[in-house]
Amino acid sequence: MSSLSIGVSGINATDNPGPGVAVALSLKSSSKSTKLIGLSYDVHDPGNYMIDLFDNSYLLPYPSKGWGGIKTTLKRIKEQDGLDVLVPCLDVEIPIMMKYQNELESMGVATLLPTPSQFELRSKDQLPDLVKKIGCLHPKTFIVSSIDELVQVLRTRAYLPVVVKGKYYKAYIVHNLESAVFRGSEIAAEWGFPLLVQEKVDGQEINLIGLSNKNGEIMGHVSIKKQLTTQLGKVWTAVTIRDQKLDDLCKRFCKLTQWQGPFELECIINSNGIYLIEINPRFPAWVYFATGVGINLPDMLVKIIQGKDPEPVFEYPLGKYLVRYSTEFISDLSYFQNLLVAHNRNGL
Amino acid sequence: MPELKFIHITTKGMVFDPQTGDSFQINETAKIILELMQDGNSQDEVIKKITKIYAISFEEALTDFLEFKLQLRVLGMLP
Repeated sequence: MSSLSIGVSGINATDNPGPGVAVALSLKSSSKSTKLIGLSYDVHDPGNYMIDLFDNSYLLPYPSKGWGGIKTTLKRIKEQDGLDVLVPCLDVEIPIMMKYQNELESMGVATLLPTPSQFELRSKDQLPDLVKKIGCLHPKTFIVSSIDELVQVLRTRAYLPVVVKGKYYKAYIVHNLESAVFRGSEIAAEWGFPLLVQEKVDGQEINLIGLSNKNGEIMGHVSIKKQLTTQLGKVWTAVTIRDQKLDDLCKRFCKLTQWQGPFELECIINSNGIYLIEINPRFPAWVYFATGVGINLPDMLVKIIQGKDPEPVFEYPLGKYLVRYSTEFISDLSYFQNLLVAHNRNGL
Repeated sequence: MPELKFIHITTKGMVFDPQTGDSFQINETAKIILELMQDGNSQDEVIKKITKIYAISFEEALTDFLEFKLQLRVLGMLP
């Protein structure tokens, strides 16, 4: 019997890592025979060169270029390497995958994605309304569509310091108007408008990773406190925790939205309560931490996609410590060449 | 005595609060007191045991214990 072939995107394991490599590590740790295909947008993505983890990796056209190119590439992968399951790990991919989920299914590529309405409910510009319904706090947020509007908001309505965010990616704490304009322009140049200008909330950063099945039932979740972060606020060290208030918030979120698939709740907790800062519609880059403490959510996701019924798991050890680090490995220039010429590492 | 928050104390004297993720190092005396409190001893029982372990008066132990309780409140370990 041929092994299951799973496509995983977000394999940019850089200092601002995508979740793909951690998802792949989780899947490999549950089944060595699973065939993993990396899906990348850049020949330099480290995951492209991880030959022990990914059986092959392919370059995909950017989602902004439309479905046609992605569909053609996925069909090619299906023919050449096999592709039974797709685990998109980047925010920008989810809308196009949701839109063409039926076409994916007809190609024989199974996924578990939130519905478009679920996805929109947690978008950064609609989050203030959602948090009211699920009963938690949210920092005051202004949506701006130009740098002029950003300046106007900072002069009249928002109090510095604030966090300037892109709709999909990147967030910077800024302490004056000049740095707000600089960072806002930087994000807009990369990801476009709108930008969000958010009140900066002090407190401890706590995150929850979770997975819900096709019926919106929670299958497992793990909470961490970020101990050390990078300049972009990404986890560098973290510890497992359990806060009943956060667990309850997770239940209310899943119940209200009937969420399907992976998610991450990014929160700040202080004496006022829990502020829900963001909801990510995918696994976060620290997903392997959950796997390491016994809750392998990517494996459960694939089982759900296959129509199996995995047991929910909620118990995990507290006080376990995640340490991220930089390392190097030696690869071969031929892989780089194959990716450039044939758009896949193995040169098929 | 108000209930001590659920915490982990390692053999080497590190306290970990599994709800907040906070951790801090404590000395041997603090470790003994916290473990006595975790075992459900009353304030008087804790103080009496401390007087025996360290051969100090009840009043001295009481003063130190109350000061320690204040620190626990600041750290959110006691209500």
